[in-house]
Amino acid sequence: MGVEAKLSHTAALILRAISAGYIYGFSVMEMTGLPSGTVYPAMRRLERDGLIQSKWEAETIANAEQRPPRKYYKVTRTGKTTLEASLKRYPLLEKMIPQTEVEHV
Amino acid sequence: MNRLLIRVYMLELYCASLIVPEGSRTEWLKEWKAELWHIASLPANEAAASFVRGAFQDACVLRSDLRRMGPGRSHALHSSPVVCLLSLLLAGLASLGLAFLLPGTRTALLPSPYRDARALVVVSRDGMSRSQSANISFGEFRYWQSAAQGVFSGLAFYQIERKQLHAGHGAEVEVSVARASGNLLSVLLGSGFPISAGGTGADSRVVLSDAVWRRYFQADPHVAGRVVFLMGEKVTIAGVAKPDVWRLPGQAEVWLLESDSRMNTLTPQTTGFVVARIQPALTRNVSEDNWHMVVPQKDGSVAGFKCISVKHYAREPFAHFAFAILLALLALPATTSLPLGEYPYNPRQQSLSLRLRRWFFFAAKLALVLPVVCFASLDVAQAFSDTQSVQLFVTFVSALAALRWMLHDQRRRCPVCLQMLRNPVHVGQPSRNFLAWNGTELICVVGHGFLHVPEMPTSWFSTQRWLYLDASWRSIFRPQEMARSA
Repeated sequence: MGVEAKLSHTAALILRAISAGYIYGFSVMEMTGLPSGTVYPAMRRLERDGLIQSKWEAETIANAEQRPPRKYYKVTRTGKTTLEASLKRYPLLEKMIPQTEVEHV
Repeated sequence: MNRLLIRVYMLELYCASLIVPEGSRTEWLKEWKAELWHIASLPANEAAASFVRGAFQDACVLRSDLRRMGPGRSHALHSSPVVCLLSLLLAGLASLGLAFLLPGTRTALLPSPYRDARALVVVSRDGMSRSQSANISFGEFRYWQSAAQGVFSGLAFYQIERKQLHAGHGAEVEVSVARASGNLLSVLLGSGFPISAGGTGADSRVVLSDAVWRRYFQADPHVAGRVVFLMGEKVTIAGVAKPDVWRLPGQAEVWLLESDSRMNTLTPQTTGFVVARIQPALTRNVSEDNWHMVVPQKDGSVAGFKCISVKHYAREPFAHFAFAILLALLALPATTSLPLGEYPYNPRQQSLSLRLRRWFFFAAKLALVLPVVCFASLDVAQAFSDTQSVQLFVTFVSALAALRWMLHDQRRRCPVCLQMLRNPVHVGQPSRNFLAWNGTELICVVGHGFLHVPEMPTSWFSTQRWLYLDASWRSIFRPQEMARSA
């Protein structure tokens, strides 16, 4: 697939972070150290290419915690395949962001 | 974090959201606000400040991304058959509107202001009927007045001259004057001329054109009866003619209707135009608009004259248009191939109504293209002195181009949805033209089929071929395109 070959290091880093369980935009920023002006556009493009998908968390959860609902991201099946290919290309990504227990919403 | 600071950050986010296109703005702002709420709960203020700064960058990127996705929508609009017909209709209306604004073309479009215009003729010497210059002598006019009463019920003579008009306010202007015999208006029977100016009188009278009346007499409603100096002589203004009332050869801004005694001062060699009314009995059972007149001369020879109906003059631009279109139709096969391609009959995908719709679209394009060419060529020709030749040339060239475009456009459309075919791909190699397929493939984005256009026509693939795709192919096409065409 063409997307696999075109994935930049930054995009692969963000995809890896989301895959590792950092599912909110700000948590991806914290994990990768990238600024918001880089992370959000990149996530939007990953979503456009079908590698991740976004969802709004349930209003009931947010209301119970007295905060606004957050948008969270998940890696799609295509995204996982692409990430596997990218990890071969950028092997250090796995060491930079180790797989954690997936954050639940 | 300070509440005031949070409000400042929220305001910044709101400002950034204005960069985002309206359709995506609400969700974009909601996500950034939610994230800011979480960052605000952190002790470090710098994180929130840098986070909000990134919002502007994200908004700009999102805007440019959405704009880049725009061409898909604009292409859908561009390829729509309805948009194609509407564009032609607009072009036709625009050229028609321009034709009404230009004085030269407006007279061709408006109905004739003269009663029984077919019987009203302009007499000209043989071979000079196309000329705008005067070619009848005053002596000939006088002879016909006395000798041709059985043919003409009325005859009038006029000359076009540039003369000084003294409007009465100290200003002297040069105008184009039609110096005519007193019966000119009664021969014309024009509804746009003032009634008081009709008939023959002992004094010379002048009729002003609407433009002169407005420009030099400030549209004075009491101008009739005023005395002005024309060519250094006193004349009385009989009235004002309506716009576009003059359809005879020569440009006239003022009509000077001379008395018989003053007309007789002209030498027999003075040349001018002769306009006449043919006896009703002679035109009743004749369909032609041109008559030939033979007049014996004093030396025993005969001279030939053409009597061309004013109605014929009015129809002339359209006759030229029809001739140029005929030439363009004859030239068309030499410039492009006429077949639209091979479209195999497929009752499942192309019902009779769909096939008829395709031909109706073709006919509608033709019906809209021709007026565009007609009015546009009339408009362009007005910019040149030789309007007839320019109109013929422009009509021929533009009609040929328009007909070629029509055929090309029809060939490049899907026969089912009439959308333009997209994604042209060259397949094959020119060196293998006689052994394998070499040409261009186009696809209907809705999924109705493929068009194969051979690069070089061969005996086994002479023209473009359409290949219908069945329903099993639908899954690979974009649902929004399919929905748009439905």
